[in-house]
Amino acid sequence: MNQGFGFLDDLAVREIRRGLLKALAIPGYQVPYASREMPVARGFGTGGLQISLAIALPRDRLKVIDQGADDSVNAVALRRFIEASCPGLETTTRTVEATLIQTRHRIPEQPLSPGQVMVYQVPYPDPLQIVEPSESRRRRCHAHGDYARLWVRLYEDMVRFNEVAISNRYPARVAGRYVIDPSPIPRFDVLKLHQSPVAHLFGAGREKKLYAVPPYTDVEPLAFSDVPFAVEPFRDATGARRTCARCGAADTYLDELPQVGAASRWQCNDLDRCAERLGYPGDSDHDEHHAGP
Amino acid sequence: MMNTTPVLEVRNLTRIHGRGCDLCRTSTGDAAGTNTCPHCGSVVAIADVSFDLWPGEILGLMGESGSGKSSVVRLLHLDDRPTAGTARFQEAPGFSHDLAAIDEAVARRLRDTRFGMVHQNPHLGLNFGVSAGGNIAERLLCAGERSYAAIRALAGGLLVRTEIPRHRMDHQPGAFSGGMQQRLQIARAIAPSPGLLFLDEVTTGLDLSVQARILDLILELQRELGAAMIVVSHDLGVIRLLAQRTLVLRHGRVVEAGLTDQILEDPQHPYTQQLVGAAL
Amino acid sequence: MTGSCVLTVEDLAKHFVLHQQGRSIPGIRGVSFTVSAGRVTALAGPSGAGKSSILKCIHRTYLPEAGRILLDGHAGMVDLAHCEEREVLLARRHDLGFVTQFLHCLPRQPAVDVVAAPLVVRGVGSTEARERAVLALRRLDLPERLWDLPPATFSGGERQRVNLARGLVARPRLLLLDEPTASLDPQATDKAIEAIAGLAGEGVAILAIFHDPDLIDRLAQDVVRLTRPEEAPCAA
Repeated sequence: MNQGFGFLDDLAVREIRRGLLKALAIPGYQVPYASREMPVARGFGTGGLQISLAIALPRDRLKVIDQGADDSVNAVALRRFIEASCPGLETTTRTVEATLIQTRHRIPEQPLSPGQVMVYQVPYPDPLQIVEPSESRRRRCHAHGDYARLWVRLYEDMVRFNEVAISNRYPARVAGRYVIDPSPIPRFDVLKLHQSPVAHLFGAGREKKLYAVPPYTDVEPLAFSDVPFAVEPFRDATGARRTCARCGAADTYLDELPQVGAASRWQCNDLDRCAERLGYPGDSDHDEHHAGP
Repeated sequence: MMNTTPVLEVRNLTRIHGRGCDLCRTSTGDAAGTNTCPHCGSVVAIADVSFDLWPGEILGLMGESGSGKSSVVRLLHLDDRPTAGTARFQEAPGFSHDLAAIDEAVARRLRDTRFGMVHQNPHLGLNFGVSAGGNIAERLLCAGERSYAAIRALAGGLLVRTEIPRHRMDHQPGAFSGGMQQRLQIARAIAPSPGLLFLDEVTTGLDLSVQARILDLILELQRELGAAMIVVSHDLGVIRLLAQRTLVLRHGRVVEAGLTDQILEDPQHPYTQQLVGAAL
Repeated sequence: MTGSCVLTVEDLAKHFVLHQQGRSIPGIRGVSFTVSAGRVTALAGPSGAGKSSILKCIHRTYLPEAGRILLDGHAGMVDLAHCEEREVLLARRHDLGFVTQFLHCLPRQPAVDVVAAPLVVRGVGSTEARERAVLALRRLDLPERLWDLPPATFSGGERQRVNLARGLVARPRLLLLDEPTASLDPQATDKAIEAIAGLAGEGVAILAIFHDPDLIDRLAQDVVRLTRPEEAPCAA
């Protein structure tokens, strides 16, 4: 097979790929797997890393994002590690150029296209964890499609806050069956999973679980029939939609940057999307932007 | 009014804890004076319990602790599986299940939508981490209700029906009195309008006036819902007020079955006579 | 309807085995009689003759030991001595009323609802049931201020009137009365007798025990005389 390519031994690659096939075949189902020791501490994206290493091919172009940025320490370290252990593989920061995108927290703002693969680093794979501490009971709930207690959580949020207060890890039902925890992506991104043209592969290294949303699959955030699911509104005091202070976009997920002695600045969280809108001015200082063809 | 099929037909229901042996049934029970098999040490929780329960009927299960009355309820509520016997539950005319050999998914559906359970200990029947309304909402959500406004309205109505002020809806049950916790359990149990309710020592340990209020409520609800009920109690007063028919259990066996007033006024079995005599 | 036989008791026997004391108490033996529609039949005899036991056997509060108790009910003839419990319950709901000296009712239920209960159980609407209950209470002269209070706080006479009203309102085919006027003053007794006679006039068969022989003369058309059974050693 790919002897010596991608750090993992053949057995590990085969097991992870097999697990991913099962995960794709049963959308949303959490497939247990033997998470390997990686030269990265658990909790720093080992689940996503193992998936990337198990499916990467020399012809892939990899993008790694952390909090929407390609240049955070964690993203850089993971990208460098994959690059070093996968000879021939290229890296990029541009979403449109990437074939394999490993991420934590965000789905890129630009629409994804068929052939790309999203890989997620997942801290807590089970949406029921917040309501049921016992894993064996959680598995029984999943088997029975019993998500009543998640719904009760939504109900309690409505009672207390008059809205569902889950900002990230918003539970979503995949293909009308299993409810997943879509990693720590914000509510803003959950709807991007619905009928997405790409495969979304989720890996939880510490919890030893794989799950997937195959391309063109229904993903439906849990919501009461009379309280529609809503994404973060990003509205200012006057009710107007905030725009990015750099590129002016009014349709992206924004970060609030507090300013000393002045009002907060709001700008795109997805730096590649922001740079793209600005026409990549001055060839951004990302250290690997040259990777593109 | 004249339903010709029982809601529940229980035949020879038996539950043995332990590996069991051929002599378990014959060497335990009322005559043997024990429910522990002297040959293999297994505990015969109940053996050969048979009865019918008709629509809208309240059946009492009476006996001291360890007599097997709670085991019967656990088996029928699908919290446990019998060693032998059958229990046919009629969900709808011409549509019935043997509770003794039921699929897990069906069991869950029945528990969520067709059965209601009220425990002696409110901590078993309520989720103390969520509000009173949330406790009722869980049952409605299990039964498939997905409209927040409808859930609020239904839960509010159930609270009022069980004499809990509507303004307590968003409070946690931990802040409720014992009687109110039991009434909340009842509200939760009846939320999906179940056909069969189990009441396990629901008034035990409560003040007499609080007890009276709950017994009243149970009878009123029984008339309104037309649900069949199985009432477990060691309190003859509770059985007398609620149940039309009663089974007396001892050492896992039914030692006497009959109309409740007959059991209390003309008990036949020595044990029942002793039980009734001790209460008067 | 009047005159037709509603209840036939044949060779009824009952004794009580007290296991703890290892002895048996004689109850009744070889009792036979009939009760007809529209007539008041009195059970007469010395105390201990088993008058109450007979009523309780008919109601199946006591388990009859031998004999037959044939009730011509709404669904045909049933033998209350041998039929299934469920049939007894149906007979109690539709055909059989029993007014004892004691009132068993829910602690919080207002008197008017206690009286209306047998009708509600039979499927009569609650408004109509209450109206008929009010009529019965008025007929028995229960003060109006008591109607909406639970009978637990009432005096013996007041409670007995609630109990009797409940039996009257149900208008069963067969009404069993066990000393229905025992704790009533003369004036209330007259009212009660008037109501019972009225009910018989409407075709109800009534089987009653009266504490006062004078009442038998005033009310009963038929009298069944009982004697005390002899003490028998325990068969076991």
